[in-house]
Amino acid sequence: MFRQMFRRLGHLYELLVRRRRLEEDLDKELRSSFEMIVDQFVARGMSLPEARRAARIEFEGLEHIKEKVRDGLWGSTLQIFLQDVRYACRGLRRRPSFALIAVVTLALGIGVNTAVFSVFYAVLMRPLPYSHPEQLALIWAGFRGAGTPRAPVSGTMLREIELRNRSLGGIAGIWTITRTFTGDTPEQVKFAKVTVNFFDVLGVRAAHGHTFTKDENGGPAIMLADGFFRRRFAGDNRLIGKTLPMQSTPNTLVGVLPADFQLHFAPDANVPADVQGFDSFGYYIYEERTLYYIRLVARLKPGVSMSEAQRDLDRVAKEIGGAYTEYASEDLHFTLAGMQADAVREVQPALAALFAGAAFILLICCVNVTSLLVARASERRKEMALRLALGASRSRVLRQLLAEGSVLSVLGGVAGIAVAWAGFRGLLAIRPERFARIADAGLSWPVLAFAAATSLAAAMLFGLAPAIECFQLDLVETLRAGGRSWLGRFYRRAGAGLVVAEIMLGFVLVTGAALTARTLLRIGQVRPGFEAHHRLTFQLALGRAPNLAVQFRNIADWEAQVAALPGVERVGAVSHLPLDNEIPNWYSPYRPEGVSENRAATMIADHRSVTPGYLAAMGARLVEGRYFTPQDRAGGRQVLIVDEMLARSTWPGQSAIGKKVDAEHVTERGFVPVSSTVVGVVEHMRNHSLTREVRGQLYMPFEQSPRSPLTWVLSTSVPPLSLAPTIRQMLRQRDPNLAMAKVRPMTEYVARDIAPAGFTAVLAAIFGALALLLAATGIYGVFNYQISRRLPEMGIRAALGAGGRDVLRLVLREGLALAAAGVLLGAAASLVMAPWLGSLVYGVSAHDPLSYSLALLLLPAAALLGCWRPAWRASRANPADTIRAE
Amino acid sequence: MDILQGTLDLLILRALELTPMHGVGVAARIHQVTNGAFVVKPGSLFPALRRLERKAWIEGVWGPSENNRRARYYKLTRSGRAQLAEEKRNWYRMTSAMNWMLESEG
Repeated sequence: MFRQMFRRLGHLYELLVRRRRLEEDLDKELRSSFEMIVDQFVARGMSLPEARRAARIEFEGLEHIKEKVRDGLWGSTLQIFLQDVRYACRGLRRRPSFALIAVVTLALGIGVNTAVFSVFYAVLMRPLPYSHPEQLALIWAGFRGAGTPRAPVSGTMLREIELRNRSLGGIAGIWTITRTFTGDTPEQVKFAKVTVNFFDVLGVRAAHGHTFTKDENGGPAIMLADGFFRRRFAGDNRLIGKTLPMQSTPNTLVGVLPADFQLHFAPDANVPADVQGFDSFGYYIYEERTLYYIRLVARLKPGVSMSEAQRDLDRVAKEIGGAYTEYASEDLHFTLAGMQADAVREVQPALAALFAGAAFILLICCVNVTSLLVARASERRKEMALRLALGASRSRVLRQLLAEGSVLSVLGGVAGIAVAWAGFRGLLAIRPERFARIADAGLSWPVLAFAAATSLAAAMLFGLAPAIECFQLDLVETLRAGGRSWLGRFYRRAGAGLVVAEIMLGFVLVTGAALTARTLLRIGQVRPGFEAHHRLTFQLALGRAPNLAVQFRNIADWEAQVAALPGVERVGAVSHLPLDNEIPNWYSPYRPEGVSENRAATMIADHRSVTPGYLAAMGARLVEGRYFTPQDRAGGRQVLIVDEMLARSTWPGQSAIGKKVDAEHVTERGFVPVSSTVVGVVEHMRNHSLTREVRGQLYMPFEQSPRSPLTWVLSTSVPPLSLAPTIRQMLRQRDPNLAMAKVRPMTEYVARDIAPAGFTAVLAAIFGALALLLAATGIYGVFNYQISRRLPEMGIRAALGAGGRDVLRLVLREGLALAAAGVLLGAAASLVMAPWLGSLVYGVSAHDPLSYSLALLLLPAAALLGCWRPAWRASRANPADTIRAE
Repeated sequence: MDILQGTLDLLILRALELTPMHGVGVAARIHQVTNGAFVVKPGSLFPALRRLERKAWIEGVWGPSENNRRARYYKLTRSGRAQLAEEKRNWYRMTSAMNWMLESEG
C-alpha cells in the first residue's frame, strides 16, 4: 500500500517536474503508433498516401490525443484530490463541534509556536545585518588572576594583537561616550569612539558621504546614524563636510550610516544599540597600556575557523605576556566569541526554554486532535469496513483520511497564523529591551515556512494515526458486531497513552510556570542596595568651565538649587548609576595597604565618583563610619567609602574604617592610583543586575576624582517625573546649551532589569494555563468517547446492582490512575530538565517543592475535571436502554 | 458496438495479460479477440494506457517493433495483475446480477 502511494507520489513528481520528458515520450509513442497504423494499411494493400490519409482519419489529430492524455492524467489526479477534499469537508461539516474543537486546538498550538518561533528566529537565528556576519567575532581579554573573563582591552593590546595575529582580516575597537548637540534644544546623545577601520571590519558603507579614512584618525571627522540625522538635521545631505553645532568642536560631518545600521553587542559589552554618532580614537590610545576600556570586533580571514583563530590568539596572548610585564603578572589570555552568539549569549537559554515550552504545547495540541480523530475513526470503523467491502482500495480510504487531516491542518494553520500574529503583537508589547531585534522581524518568510511545516507534520500525524486504527479492523468482525459494542484495543491503549502523555507534558509546563513566577516574585523582593521608589534620575554634562574649581562650584551650586525645590528631599550625583548599563562600567584594580603588588592584581572593584549627597539620596544604608560631606574636597584628605562586600573580602573580621587603599582616581595626569583612607562602609548596590552581586565597590568624592557625565539622583516626596519640567527650565536659565538626558524615575531601571524575567514568566504562565486547559479537554475527549462505547458495560453493572456512585467512582478512579502515571513521568521529566533551567531561576531551587506541589495538585485536578462529565454520564447508564440498544 | 463505460481498463489489462504489447497491438488484439465487436480508437486508447500506467498497473518500456520501428511496449505489473483479477470478479458479479435481473420472471 505504501509502496503504491510512493509510486503515485513519484508520478505526481513526474507530472509536475519532468513534464517535458513526459511530453516528448508521448509524442514519440504517438508518432511511431501512427507509422505502425500506416504500415497496417499498406499491408492491407493501400498505397502509401492513401494509407496515410486513412491513418490520419483514425488518429483524429495528434494534438487532440495529447490533450486527452493530459486531461486524463491531470484530471484524475485533481479530480480525486478535490473529491477527497470535498468529502472531508462534508464529513467535518456533519460534526461541526468536532471540527471546531480540532481547528481551535490546532490553531492554538501552531499559533503559539509560530509566535515564539518568530522571536526565536529574530533574536537567535537571523544573521546580523553585516556582510559575512559569520566571520565577525568579539575578542575579550581575560585576566585569569583577577577572575574577569570578559574584560575590554587597552589600546596597547589592540595594537599588539593587530601586529602579531595571523588569522584576522581586520580588528577594530569601540567605546561609548556621550556628546552634546547645542542649539535651541540641546540634546545629549550616545556617541562611540571607534578605530577608523571599524566600519570596514563590519563591512558597512556610508549611505551618504564616506566612512572614516586613515587620515581622519583622531581628527574632527564625525559620522551620524541615519535616524538621528533625519530627526535632528532633517536628513539634510548638504551638511556633509560641514561643522555641526556641538559642544565638542572642531567637528566635521563626513558621513551618514545606512538606515538599517545597528550595533549588536551583548549587554555586558556596554555598547548600546542606539549609538547616534561616531568619532575616532586617535593614535594616542596605542600608548595606553593599562587602561582597559576598548571593545574589540574582529573579522576572520576567509576560510579561517573560530578554533584556528582562537589558537592564533592564544599564541598572541603568550607573546604579549612575554613582552609586557604588566600583562604577564595577570595571566593574560584572549577569548574569541562569534559576534552573533556573543550578542545573544544571555538570552539564549531563556528563549530555548520558551521554544521548548511552545513545542510541548504543540505536542499536547496534536495529542488532543489525534485522540479526537482516532476516536472518530473508531466510530467510523463500520463505515470504513463497508467501503472496503464495496471495493474501495485501502489506499483510497487512506487518502481520504489524509485529506481529512490536511483540511484540518490547513484550517488550523491559517487560524494559527492569525493567532501567531496576535501573539506576536502581544510579545512585542511586553518584550524586554534585549529582544530589540524582534521589532523589525515580524512574521517573515522563514517564520511562515515554519508554520507551514508544523501544519504539514500535523496533517501526516492526523491522517496516519486514524489510518493505523482503521486498517487493523477485521471486516467481518466489525460488521457483525454492528460497530457498537466493539472497543478498539488499539484505541483503548492509545487513549490511555495519550492521556498520560498530556499530563506529563502539562506537569513539566506547570512546574516551569511556577518556577519562573516564583523567580519573578523573588527578583521583585530583592533589596538592590538602594531605594528605587520616589527617585528621579537624569544625566547631565555641565559644560566645560575655565578650571576645575569653577566647575566644582557650578556643580555644588546646581545641586543646591535643585535641592531647594519643593518636593525634593536629597540630591546627589554619580558617575555610573546602578542598572544603567549604557555607560561603560568603571572597574579597576585597587591595592589595600600591606598587600603585595602581585596579590593586589586580583583585587578589582567597581569605582564610582559621587557628589556628597549621592549615597544618602539613593537611600544606601550606612553600615559603619560616615557618608561624604562637602568638606571632602580636592586637595583635602583623600577619602573612600567602600561597600560591605569589599570590606568583608579585603579585611575579614576587621573594621574597614581607617584602612588605607591605593585606588584609581581621575586626576590631571589621567587615571592613576592614589592612596586614600576608608571613612565609611555602605551596603552593596546591585550595579549590574538585580540578581547578581558582581564585585565590591569603591566610592570616591567627585571633587577628588571628577568624571563626566554625571547622573543626578533626587529623592522626592512628590511623584518623581512631576519635577522634570521645572528642572529642565532651571537648567535652560542656567545655560541654554546644556541638555539633560535619560530623565527617568529610578523604578524604570529596576523595571527594565526585571523585564526579561517578567517576559519569561508571562509566557510560561500562558503555557502552563494552556497546558492545563488542553489536558482537561483532552482527557474529556478520550473519556467521553470511551464511556459512550462502554455504556452497555455500565448498564450491566447497574443491572447487577452497582449504584450510580459506584460507577462514578470507578470511572474517576480510572482517570486518577492515568493522572498519577502522568504526574510521575512528568515529575521525572521535570527533574531531568531542572539543571537546564538553572540559569532561568533566581532565588528558588530548580527543584522547588512548592512549584512541584502546585503541579502535583493542578494536573490531577484538571484530569478529574476532564473526566467528571463522562463519569457522570456513565453513572446514569440505564440497563433498559442498554438492552434496547443491543 | 460502443465500449461500456469503465470496461476499457478491463479490456486493456486483459489484452496485456499474456504478453507485453504496444498500443497499436493492444487495439488490434481487442478488435481481433472480440471479433470486431469493439473498436478502440487511438483517442481513447492512449489516454487509457497512460492512466493505467500512472496507476502503476502497467509499465511502458521502449523496444523494437515489427517493421524495425521503436514502439512503447506495455507490460502488466504485479499490482496490475491483482487489479485485473479484481476487475474480472467485479465484472462477473455485475453480469450475473444483470442476468438475474433480465432473466427473472416478472
